[in-house]
Amino acid sequence: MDIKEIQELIRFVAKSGVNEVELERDGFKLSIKANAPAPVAQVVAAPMPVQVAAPAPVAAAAPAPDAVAATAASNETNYLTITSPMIGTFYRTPGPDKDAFVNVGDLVEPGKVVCIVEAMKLFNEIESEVKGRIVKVLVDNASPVEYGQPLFLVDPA
Amino acid sequence: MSLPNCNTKVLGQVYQYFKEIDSTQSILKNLPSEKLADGMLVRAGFQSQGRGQMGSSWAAKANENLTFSVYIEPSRWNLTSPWQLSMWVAVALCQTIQKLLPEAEVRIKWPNDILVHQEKVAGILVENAFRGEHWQNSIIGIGWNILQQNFDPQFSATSMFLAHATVTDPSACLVSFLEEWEKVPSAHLQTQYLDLLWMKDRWQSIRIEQEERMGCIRNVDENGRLLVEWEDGKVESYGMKELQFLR
Repeated sequence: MDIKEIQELIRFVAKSGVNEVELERDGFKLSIKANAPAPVAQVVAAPMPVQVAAPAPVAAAAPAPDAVAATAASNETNYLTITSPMIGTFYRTPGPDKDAFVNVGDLVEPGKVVCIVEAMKLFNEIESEVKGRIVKVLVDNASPVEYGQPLFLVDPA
Repeated sequence: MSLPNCNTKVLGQVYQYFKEIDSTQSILKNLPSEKLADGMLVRAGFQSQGRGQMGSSWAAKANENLTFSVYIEPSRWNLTSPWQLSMWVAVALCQTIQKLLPEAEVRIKWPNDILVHQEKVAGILVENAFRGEHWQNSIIGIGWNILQQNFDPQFSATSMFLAHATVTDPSACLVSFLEEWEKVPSAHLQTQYLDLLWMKDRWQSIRIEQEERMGCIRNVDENGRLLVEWEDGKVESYGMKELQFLR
């Protein structure tokens, strides 16, 4: 994982509204805690020290691999995201006065429509690529969304 | 009602006509994938639940107008973005109507309505299915006024017949469109689209954020957003509903 990926992850966590994300990869462990307003990232690197030169988020590198290992394993590390394939307006329902495609707690599987992103009178139905349970809807209905913006968190467990 | 003498390879070769159904879009959307074929066309004599944008209905009496939907697999037509598809259909429909009405001023009103002498004659609605970031298929819904003679004045609409009384056969109009559409290359459409764009390079009064300003349509970007130049020389891009064009 390079610095750019860590920066992207920090940005994602800040946007998603999730409070804490822990990630364990070969040789290092990363824990990001979002203490409002600005997220704070703690990078715990085992083999090599990581220096993050991001402007806003503060990253502290410490050679203490065991410090975080003690905390209980969080499911959030395993969450998958469904992202927007385009710029547009996010709709959770197929039309006004209709029920939402999915709600928190619903099971989704590949092919299940989860939302519409509308742009220039093009109605784009977004189907899930993954199987799991919706744990969080990250965007309000009828809000603008960007290309690649996370829309839903899905627990694959 | 069959589709007579349609000399296309793909578009409309699978054809279903319903005297009355809720919406041609819904028929195609609810078909299982093994029953769908690229270019398949569903036409309704009358739609009880036909829709324009998010619920606003397209008013059409039985068999007066054309209401149909076409199923398209983007990968078979070298389409890379939904906006490219939208331009492709709009250019093809605009050119068809121009050929049927050689004397008329036919334009595309951004993003994809068709105007004859500044009044709406046809509307296009595109629904795309994405699996994650992968564009799977599209269903293109078209409402095209052919014989209707009475319109609610607030909609500023017209029909082919009103524009020229020799146009009297909806099925013939549909065949003309499908044949034209199949001939229009799907790539490099930007120039053609801009040439047909209503009010391009003409200063007009535009309402934006409750303010009226003089602006001029200059271009569209790759996502279909409209690029408007304002009197101060600044050019900015806009999506649907951000602008209202005043007459």
